[in-house]
Formats: sequence, C-alpha cells, structure tokens
Amino acid sequence: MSSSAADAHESAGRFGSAIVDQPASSPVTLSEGSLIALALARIFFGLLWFQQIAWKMPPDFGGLRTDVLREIRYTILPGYSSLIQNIFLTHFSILGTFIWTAELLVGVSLLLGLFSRLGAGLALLLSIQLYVGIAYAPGEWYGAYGMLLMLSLILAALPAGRRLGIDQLLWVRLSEAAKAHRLARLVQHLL
Amino acid sequence: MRSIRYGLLAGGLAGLLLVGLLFYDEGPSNQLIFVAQSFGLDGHGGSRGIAALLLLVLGTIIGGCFGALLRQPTLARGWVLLWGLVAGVLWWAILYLLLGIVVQRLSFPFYLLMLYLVVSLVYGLALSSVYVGLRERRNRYIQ
Repeated sequence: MSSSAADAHESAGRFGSAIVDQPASSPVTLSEGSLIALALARIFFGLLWFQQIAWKMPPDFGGLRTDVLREIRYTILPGYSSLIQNIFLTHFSILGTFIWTAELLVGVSLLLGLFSRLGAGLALLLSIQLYVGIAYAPGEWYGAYGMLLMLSLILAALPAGRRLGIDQLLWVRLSEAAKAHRLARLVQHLL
Repeated sequence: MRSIRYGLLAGGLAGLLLVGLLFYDEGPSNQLIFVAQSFGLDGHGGSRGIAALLLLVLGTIIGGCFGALLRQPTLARGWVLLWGLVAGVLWWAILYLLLGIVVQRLSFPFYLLMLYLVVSLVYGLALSSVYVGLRERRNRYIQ
C-alpha cells in the first residue's frame, strides 16, 4: 500500500471511531441572544394575530362572512366547501365566536408569552385551516400562508415564552410542582 | 444607583419595543396617531415622531423609577416580573385612560383599548425581564 493510501485508510478509521463514539444526538443549547431574538419574533407574530380580530369584531363579525364565502369557492381540499356551506355557515355566529376567540387567545398568548407553545399550537391549526381554505384564492399569495404555518410550527416547537414572557414565571412554579404531580409535568409542555 | 441605571437601560429598551409594536400595527406608525392625540398633539405628520420619542423618554424614566423602587437585591425574580406587569397596567391606565379618555376626551374603540392594554403589558414584561437579567448578570460577575 502506498503511503497516501495508508494515510487515507488511517484517517477513515479515526473518523469511523469518532462517529461510533458520538452519542445519538447531542443536546443543543440556545444562547441568551438567540432566546431574546426568538421572544421578539413571538411578540411581533402575536401582534399579527391580534390585529386580525380588529376586522371581525362581534356581534356581527365584520368581514368574516365574506372570507368564509371565498373559502367555499377557492378551497383546495375536496369536500371542504360543502362542510363550510352546510355546517359552518348555518351556524355562523358559533363559527364567528370560535374564530374570534381563538385568534384573541393566540394573540394574547404569543404577545405575553403565556402558555406560548399552546398558543402557537392553536395558531398552527388556524394556519392549516387558512392554507387549505384561502391560500390559493385570487389575490392571495400562498407563500404568505405557508410562512404563517411554518412560523407557528417553529414557535410550537421552541419555548419562546421563557424570555420576555410570563412563561418564565410559570416555569419555575411548575418545575417545583412537577416533582410531585404528573399534571404539572404535562402542563410544562405547553410553556 | 446601579439599580436605577439598570432600570433606565431596561426601560429604554422596553420603550423601543413598545414604539416598534405601535409602529408595526396596521401599517407604519398608524397606532402612534392615537398615542400622539393622548399627549395632546394633532396626530399628523411629525407629531407621530414626537409621540414615538415621548414614549421612548417616558419608558426610560419609568424604567429608572422601577429600578429605584425595586433596588432591594434580595427581591425574587418572580416578584420583579409581577411588578413589571403592574407597571404595564399603570402605564395603560395613565396614558390611555387618564390622558387619552379623561383629559383629551378621546373615544377609543374597544379593540384599541384591548390592544393598548396588551402592548402595555408587553412593555412591563420586557422592562422587568431585562432589569432582572441585568441584575442577575451582575451577581454572576461578582461571584
């Protein structure tokens, strides 16, 4: 074997052992700066949701009906338009109350960092509904709805409320309670 | 003195966040119109810039007062954060309820009152979080 071939073999052996010795996945720690940046993204994303309740205020829910009618025409999911027409539109005040309350909860949760993962999870569900219903309607850019969905997913996956949010306060209390109560451990996953 | 300095810095940064949120809401500087009107300005042109500057200055001053009032080093993190929320509610009550509605006789729609309350709470949370973060960093440095 030539010397260069021997070196290559030895190097491959070293790499091989390094890969084998490495744990399955090493934990990632976010720096303080990254956590603050994440918290700022959460706050501005929360404001975006909070703004949306302004044009669908109860009791008549403003422009929501027009939006729902557009979803009937332009949804990409087969059967979804008949579901909206026969169930949601016939009980429009219940639908309006649900959507308005859900968007208010998402806005408050993300702005204040209060159960931020729960708020982001709810935002994810609403974003999926918007993507399926209205993303491909004329005048809409589907990418915007896609980004809404992805940002919700990121904030549901990361503890964004633990900086500049109320979750940092709840986390300490729940950590103590989690030692004794299973429910507290479950609730911790929502922060 | 150090706690006042930390409070001023935290208040300034929280005030900057507040201006950013009001600037971003419903188009560039739209919500600053109502803030300017609360301060007795007309809400047009340059008065929005003055309102933003006033928010920043007031935010910094309130931060200084916050630092002076909570200068006790033994005060727990949780209490500082709770006092931050109280500061946010007071900010909302003084700026929008007292100055805006009572003094200037403005009529804010319900949505705007909710928005200003939540945004004021964000200010309070940011103020207390940054303040307590600076204090803890100093404590770690000493140790």
